[in-house]
Amino acid sequence: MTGLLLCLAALLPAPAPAGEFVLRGNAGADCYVNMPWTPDAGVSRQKSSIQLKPSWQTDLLRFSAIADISCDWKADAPFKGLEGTREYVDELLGKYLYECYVDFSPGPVDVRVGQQFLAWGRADFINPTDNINPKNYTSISMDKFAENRTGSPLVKADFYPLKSVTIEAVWSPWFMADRIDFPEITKVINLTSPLSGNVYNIDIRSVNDPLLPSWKPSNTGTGIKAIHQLDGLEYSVSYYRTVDHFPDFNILYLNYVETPTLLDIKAQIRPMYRPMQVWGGDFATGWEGVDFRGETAFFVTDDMKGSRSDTRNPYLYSALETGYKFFGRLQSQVLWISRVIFSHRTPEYYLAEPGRTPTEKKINNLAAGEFDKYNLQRDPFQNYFAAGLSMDLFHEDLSLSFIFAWGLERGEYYVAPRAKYILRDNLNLYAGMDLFGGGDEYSLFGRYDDRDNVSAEVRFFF
Amino acid sequence: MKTVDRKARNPDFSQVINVERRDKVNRMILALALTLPFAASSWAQALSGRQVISNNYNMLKPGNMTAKLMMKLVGATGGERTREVMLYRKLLNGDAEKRLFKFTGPRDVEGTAVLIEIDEKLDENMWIYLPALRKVRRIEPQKSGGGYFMGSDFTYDDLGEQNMDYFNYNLLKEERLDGQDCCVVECSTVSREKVLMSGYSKQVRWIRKDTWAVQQIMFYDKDGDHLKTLKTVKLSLLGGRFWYQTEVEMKNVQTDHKTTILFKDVDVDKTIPDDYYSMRYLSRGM
Repeated sequence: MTGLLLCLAALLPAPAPAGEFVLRGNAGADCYVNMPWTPDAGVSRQKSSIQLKPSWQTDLLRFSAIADISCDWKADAPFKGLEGTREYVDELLGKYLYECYVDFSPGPVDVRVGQQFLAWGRADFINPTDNINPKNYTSISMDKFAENRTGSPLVKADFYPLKSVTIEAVWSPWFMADRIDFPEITKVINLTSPLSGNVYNIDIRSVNDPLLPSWKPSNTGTGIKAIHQLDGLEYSVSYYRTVDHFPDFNILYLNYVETPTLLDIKAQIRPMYRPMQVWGGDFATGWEGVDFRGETAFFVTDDMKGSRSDTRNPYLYSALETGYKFFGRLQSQVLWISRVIFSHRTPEYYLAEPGRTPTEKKINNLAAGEFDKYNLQRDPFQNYFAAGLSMDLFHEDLSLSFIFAWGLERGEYYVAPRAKYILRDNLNLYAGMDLFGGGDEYSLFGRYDDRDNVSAEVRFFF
Repeated sequence: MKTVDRKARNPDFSQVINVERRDKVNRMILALALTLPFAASSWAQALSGRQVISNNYNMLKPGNMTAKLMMKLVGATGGERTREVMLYRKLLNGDAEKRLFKFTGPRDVEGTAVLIEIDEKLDENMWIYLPALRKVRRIEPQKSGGGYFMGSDFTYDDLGEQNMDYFNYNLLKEERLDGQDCCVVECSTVSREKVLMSGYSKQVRWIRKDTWAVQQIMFYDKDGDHLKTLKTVKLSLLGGRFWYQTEVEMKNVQTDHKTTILFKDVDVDKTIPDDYYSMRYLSRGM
């Protein structure tokens, strides 16, 4: 709705000339089947959808939108999201507006206003600098760009002061959270009162009632990116200040009474969204037919010293890729992804943390332990190695690709073979598989261990 | 736009030649016997293989060009695929030029665009806009085997200018092909490295003597086997000044796959703004 309003607002000053209207789109069906060895073996999604892409262009502006109307015939099927402890119930009939924006170019500036996707970063597999759109971590698809993120209302302006320089500014006026499958956790911990020696049972529940940031200018997202294009090399530096779309999980004490004869505590774990700044940079170059791409981002969080167990620490997130095409058709890719957590602390550190009662520390550590997997900060160094191959056969009628990713610290892996076949012009068939393994619930791929699936899709483009 | 359609212009040309040839043949044999050693020598001196190819390269080219490329891919079993691309092309100083390909069909790749900048040394910079990802990505031009353009039988190298220094030239003969007087030049790739770059060990090119346009090229693979044949189906006079191949056919004789490219709505008089050949335009995704 906000995107639509922004579009309408942008349209107001424009005249109403008869422009060129084009309607494109696609229609199709896809099916995901959980592997027999997973807890929810069987069909997990059987979806028919039609996607419409209207655009209307005049000499002065262009309006574009992408909207999706779908019917998920397996909407009530168990679905594994980020956690996997909660049944995800989708809607039978879904309608979603991915994008709805207006482009216009006053002088040397290109402006895009409205709900839109904006993907920063030059890497293919993981983009550390890509933090503007909220992500959808409940998507069953691992590689559908539009399904894995949420279009967000933005004002984006690209300015070209020099032929080789682009300055991009972006403003995100409304906060939108990542879509995650919030785990419903009820924990009972037995706490012995240090004052009386009595044992009390304390209930702690997770409550899916996020503490969303209020609207104020400082809670809006603002970013700037400078891109410099040289002969054979291009690079950019960027800064984005926002409220993190991904929550920290906070303990809220609704009641806290600790006396020699009573320990009456009511605590909730609730998602809370904290400020974040991202300093980023990326580059792309080539040498003798070999592509090199990379990007890195330093995340300034709300707990730079790592003093709080329930708040993310600062971290450096990087990706480096090389690509080479053999025999003109076999594309190979090698990737290294790294995450370094600064001020990393162990659970023991937080137990010894001064200024809190032993009871508080135990509860806080419980929360930190439960949600550590979401913050991905359990290990101070996290390294992933990935290799990919892709090939077009039969004059691009058949495309095959294969990705293998491996987490060095926890021995986890992800394997994703894909195939696309062009049955005839504008009618494509797709098939794929996602296999996760190794590691544990705290690892990037290991947490999806019960999401192994095969998928197939047929889609007609018009 | 004037066009020269070889089929329309010379429907029975070969028959006319045959009738006249019978009357003249005896006189010609005598004349040739007397003059051949001198004529061949002077002809070769007058026009070497390199010069023929140079004349082809130096054909007057439009400074700006827009065209809609309709590609038809026909498999060995007769199955057809189509591709549609808008081409924008601008010549700069020397051999430098900029090209923009905007894919308009099939629909699932619509919006994809490729920007190619070629400098005077024929070194290339290439970027691709991927609409599904909303990203412009720099592509390193392939150094091995060319890389085929949209699944067609044309490599990116085939569609671009080739550096003259990458070949040794040998004028083989003069020959009449498809009703056109042609010089036949063998272009051997100078080194193994260049063979790996282009994917071809040699090319034999039929260059028309009237316009210096390509009439046919036979491509030979790395092992020296005949790989593909390019034929000019239609040569057009664009804007009354520029001869240009507006319909070409490339057939891979090893796979029996064929691609035809038809240039439609060719315009050489329209000045394309420099903005079109920029990252700015590319990243707009329009």
